[in-house]
Amino acid sequence: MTDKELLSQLKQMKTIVPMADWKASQRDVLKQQIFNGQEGLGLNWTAKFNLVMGRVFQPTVVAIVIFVFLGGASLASWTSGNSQPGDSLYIAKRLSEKTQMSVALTNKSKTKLNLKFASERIKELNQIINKKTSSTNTTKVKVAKLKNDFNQEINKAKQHLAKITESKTSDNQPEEEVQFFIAGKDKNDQRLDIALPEEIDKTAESTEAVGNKKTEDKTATEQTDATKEEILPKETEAILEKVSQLVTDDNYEQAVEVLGQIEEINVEAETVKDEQPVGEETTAQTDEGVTAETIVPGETLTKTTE
Amino acid sequence: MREHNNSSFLMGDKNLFIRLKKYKDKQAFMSAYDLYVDQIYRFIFFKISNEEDAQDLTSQVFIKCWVYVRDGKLNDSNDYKSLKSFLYKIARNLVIDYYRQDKKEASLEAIEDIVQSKEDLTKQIETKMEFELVKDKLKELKSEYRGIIVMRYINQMTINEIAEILGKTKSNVRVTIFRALTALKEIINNK
Repeated sequence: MTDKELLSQLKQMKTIVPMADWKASQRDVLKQQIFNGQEGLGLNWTAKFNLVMGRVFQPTVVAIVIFVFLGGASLASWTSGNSQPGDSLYIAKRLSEKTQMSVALTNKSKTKLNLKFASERIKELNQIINKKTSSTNTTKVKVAKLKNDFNQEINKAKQHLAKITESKTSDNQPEEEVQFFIAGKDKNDQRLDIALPEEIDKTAESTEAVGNKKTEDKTATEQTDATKEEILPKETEAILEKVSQLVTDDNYEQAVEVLGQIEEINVEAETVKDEQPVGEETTAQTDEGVTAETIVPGETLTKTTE
Repeated sequence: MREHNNSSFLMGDKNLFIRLKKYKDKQAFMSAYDLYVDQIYRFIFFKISNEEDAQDLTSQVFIKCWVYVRDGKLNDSNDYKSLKSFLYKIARNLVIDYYRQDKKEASLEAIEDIVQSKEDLTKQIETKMEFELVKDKLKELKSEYRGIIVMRYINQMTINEIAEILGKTKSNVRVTIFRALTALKEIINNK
């Protein structure tokens, strides 16, 4: 191939463009995110974050604010909830998942989202296999991709669980910093650091530290809760390993069932927390729990859509 | 012709950039999306060789860009001379994060519809086959070379623009382009 031919072929690759339906749906979701997020309540992340972290928690207000802000993602999620790979709404569904993850504040909420998304991938996998309208090769490619996505979600869940365990074992450490749209922060790479301003992170840490200071004076109650939550990550990790093995063995239905066990463990742990005597100590922790749960809209919407 | 097209781009880009910086104009942002989504997608696609992940990362580029615009960060720095270079920088960073997360260098995941059997390559190659060949072999280049070829020859960016995005001098960029093309030719001719 001559230079001229090579350059000609390279120039022709300009014809490679994203799929039109993906482009259009992505545009719509983006537009909803931007326009919904800025109008009416005059939301911006700085103000909302300070509202959440800087004072006594008001779960109802936070819930309304977050729910409206994520109205676009919610709508996309609701309308695309049952879509499969290849459907025009599937991209909106995946984008909505990314948005949900990006607004999850705690490792616990992130883990729950990862597990939810992993479960979704398995269900989609089952749907693809049972569909039998695509060619064998296309099905194989899609199945392989979904398996890969599933494994990625499981790995991310494990990483978040590891962080939970780490934060529980270190003294007087507040929950990990909130992550929004974080690019890597290694400035030696001469990379663009577009994480949210450090002052927001510092505000988050200082106000969380203040909030956590109230809980540091606890004794038996907090120790009991801490012990319960320490157990959670270990049990969950073991179950995740089992799920990964089941998927590897193409045992998808059982994998979904086993994934459900993690949900049961979490529900049980929450129930135990709720049964603790009511007092200042538990109120602070409950507020944090409520806030974290509130900020993650996925479960509410999932129940609505399922 | 290229300079004229680039001038048009520049005017459009300049105008959009100003409107975003000064007024956080949402309509301007959507216009920017329409203007750049194809080439940003192309840039990412050729880097990571995965259509769905390229779509995801492309979405994230524009979301991140909007967050930056909304928070007024564009005004705080003179590093970004154009909206285009800003978007490409975000895209580059996301690709780096993508590699780190997956702990793998240039993904060579085969995409079923563009993998060609070796037997075809020995015959007289038709235009479409040549296209697929180059597209296929491009993936075998190292990431840095692939990126610069995409920017220069596929997305038709100027040396200046590429230099700004990569943080390199123009002569450095020219040398890298030469090396990248040489490497690609070698891979193709050694089929």
